[in-house]
Amino acid sequence: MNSFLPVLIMLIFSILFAVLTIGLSNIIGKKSYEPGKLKPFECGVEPTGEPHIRFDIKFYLVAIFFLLFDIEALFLFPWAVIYRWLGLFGFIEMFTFIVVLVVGLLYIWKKGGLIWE
Amino acid sequence: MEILFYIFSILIIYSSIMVVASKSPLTSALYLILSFFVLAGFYVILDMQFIAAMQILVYAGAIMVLVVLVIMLLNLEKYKNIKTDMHQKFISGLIFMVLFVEIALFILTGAGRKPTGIFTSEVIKRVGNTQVIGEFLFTKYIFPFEISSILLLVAIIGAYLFAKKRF
Repeated sequence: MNSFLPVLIMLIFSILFAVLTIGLSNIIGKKSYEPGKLKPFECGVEPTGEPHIRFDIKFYLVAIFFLLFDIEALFLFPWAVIYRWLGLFGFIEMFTFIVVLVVGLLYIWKKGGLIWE
Repeated sequence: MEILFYIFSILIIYSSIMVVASKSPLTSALYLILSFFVLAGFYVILDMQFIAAMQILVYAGAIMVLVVLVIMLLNLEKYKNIKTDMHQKFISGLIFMVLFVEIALFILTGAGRKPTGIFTSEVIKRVGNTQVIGEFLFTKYIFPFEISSILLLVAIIGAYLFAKKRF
């Protein structure tokens, strides 16, 4: 638990930083409320269409691949801390695990799933 | 330690209420990220460093990326004025009651229980939570671990095929 003290201190400082910067600029800064300020601005032209555009499915695909390889990377943590204790057995074990996932990576690579056209 | 627990509790209750109460789906997603982070803080207090790292990496990182992307993929402008009816409130109230009773029963009967066997709380504290998980995962439960790689492979190929059919 004591090794997490730096994390806690960093957390407190980051919260303080965010609160101070937003709070101070709120207190010191000039405030002006008028209806024209809330209007969307498009180079003087009346805005057309909805502001909410639909995102491409490609973003979603990248997010899913990130999630899956993220889980793979997560398994490396407990493996790394007891690597010496496991020895060669652990190496082979993790090697097979990674190889199966590299097959998946090669599959989407060869199929063009990573191409951003 | 006590004070941290109370701060985290207040934060997680506040953020969880805001997940349900906020109007914009993106705002509630951000509050959900906050509650996941606070949950990681609880795991650190309980000396479960690996699960805390998992919570931040997988839930606050990856799963929330998916949730936010789904919110952005769907055009939610149309659904802004949908009213919730009593039917939904009744079902959510029922689920809330069941969960409340379950947690209350757990606290009343089994809260004082400690892990039994060779891995008691003291041993886990001495050896380290991550080490214990690794020790089991890479010796006793090696087969499920290797199978999980196949599962991830299937998920990779499946995700590719589902998304690729669209364009």
